Amino acid sequence: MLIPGTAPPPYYDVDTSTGHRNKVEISDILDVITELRRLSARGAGPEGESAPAIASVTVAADSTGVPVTPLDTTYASSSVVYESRSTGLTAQDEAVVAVAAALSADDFSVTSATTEEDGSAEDYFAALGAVGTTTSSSLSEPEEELISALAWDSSGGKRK
Amino acid sequence: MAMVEDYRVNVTGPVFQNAQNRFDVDASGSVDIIDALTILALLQQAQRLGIPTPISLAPPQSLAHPGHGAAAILRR
Repeated sequence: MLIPGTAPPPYYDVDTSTGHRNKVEISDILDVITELRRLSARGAGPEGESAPAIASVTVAADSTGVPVTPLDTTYASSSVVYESRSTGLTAQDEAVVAVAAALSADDFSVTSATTEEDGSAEDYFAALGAVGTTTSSSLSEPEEELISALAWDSSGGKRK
Repeated sequence: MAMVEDYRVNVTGPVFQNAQNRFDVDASGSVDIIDALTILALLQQAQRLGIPTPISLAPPQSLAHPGHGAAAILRR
């Protein structure tokens, strides 16, 4: 007999609401991010930093200008305003953006210096200062590209 | 004479969720971005292996033992 919570970690099943129990999906990530933001708002976030004040996150991975609807309504209703102009984003890509948005204070350009051509997503997360032991090295190439795209000025299409 | 009976009560809940703090994915004792990235890494691995998402964690009845979920398969 399985006893609740006795499977060895990691415990991937964060979201156990109706239809989400015993599944690993984006909603599990979004729940963690929502909690991080809640903790941060209380001043108990990573390293005691203040609450993130994300006005908007714009991803300009290509020049099509076609908006992508966020895949998860929980995310869409959060305080993070997400605008995607890429047609190639996967659900995992959106999660990367959500993670980045949750970590960033209010300006993605702060980290753009580490997302130059030879930069990596790991550098990106490290630059945010909230990741001590990063697992971002497991990011796939599309995610790396997405992170790099965050450093692009969406209005001018040029790297900041 | 009053009768006393003992009832065994089994409390059930999500097996693959941290019973102490559901947001603490890696059971580190705190909630941080690593918890979100841990889930993300698993989803990415599934994507690379062609495993459809959402990933089901429910073990088959014949394998009702911790560690036999899809996540365990991915870890191998």
